[in-house]
Amino acid sequence: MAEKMTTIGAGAHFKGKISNASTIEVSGIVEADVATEKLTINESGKFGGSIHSKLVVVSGSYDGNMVADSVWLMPSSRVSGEIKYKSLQLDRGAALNCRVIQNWDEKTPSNTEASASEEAKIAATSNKDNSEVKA
Amino acid sequence: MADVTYISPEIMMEGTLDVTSAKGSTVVLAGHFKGEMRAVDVKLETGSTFNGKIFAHSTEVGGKINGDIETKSLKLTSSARFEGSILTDELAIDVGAEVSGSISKLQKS
Repeated sequence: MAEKMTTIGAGAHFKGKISNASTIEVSGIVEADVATEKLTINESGKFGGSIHSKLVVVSGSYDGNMVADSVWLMPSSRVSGEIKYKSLQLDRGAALNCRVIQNWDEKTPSNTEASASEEAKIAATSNKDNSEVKA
Repeated sequence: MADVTYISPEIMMEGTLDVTSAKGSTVVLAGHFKGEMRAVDVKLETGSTFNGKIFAHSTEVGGKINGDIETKSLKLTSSARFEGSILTDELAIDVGAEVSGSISKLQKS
């Protein structure tokens, strides 16, 4: 176990506030608003609430408003809510049912947001079935 | 490894943590926690602070606690600073631990 990494284990359920974190790994259930550097939601993990982070890796399920520099949605991920990102990797099989906004420069959001934002409702049946089996 | 909940030294968590499901049951706190914690095994490391209530089967304390502990077996190590009430059946206190408050036997339920 990495020394500085906070882990919410598979059987854990946390509800509340998390602050002053650097790296968090979620295998259990978390309902919280978090500001951190790196956040990983494992396949068994469920996260509800807002995330501000440099890097977010999702293999489990997420619901909320996410603001992150880099977002990686793994094949088993299921996401709803909103994602604001600078760079996004979306793997085949990820079930995405949310608003995604690409925002390279937050100083001029009016131009970039209008052209780059998109409503994504990707739940191609094959993909969704795939992730449901895994879930 | 994935079923252990570990709270790293610099972190502050406020709320309720429930780790009593069959998948995992151990909590190690090295950071700061405020609220209620339910688990089977709880370990509060040296340097950690806890404010609130702990319900556990076995608890080991090396940090600073303000609040109540209800646990079957409790160990306070030499670095423990405890203030509050203890309900336990088996109690061990190391030399150096500072304890103030009430200690009573756990009621059978």
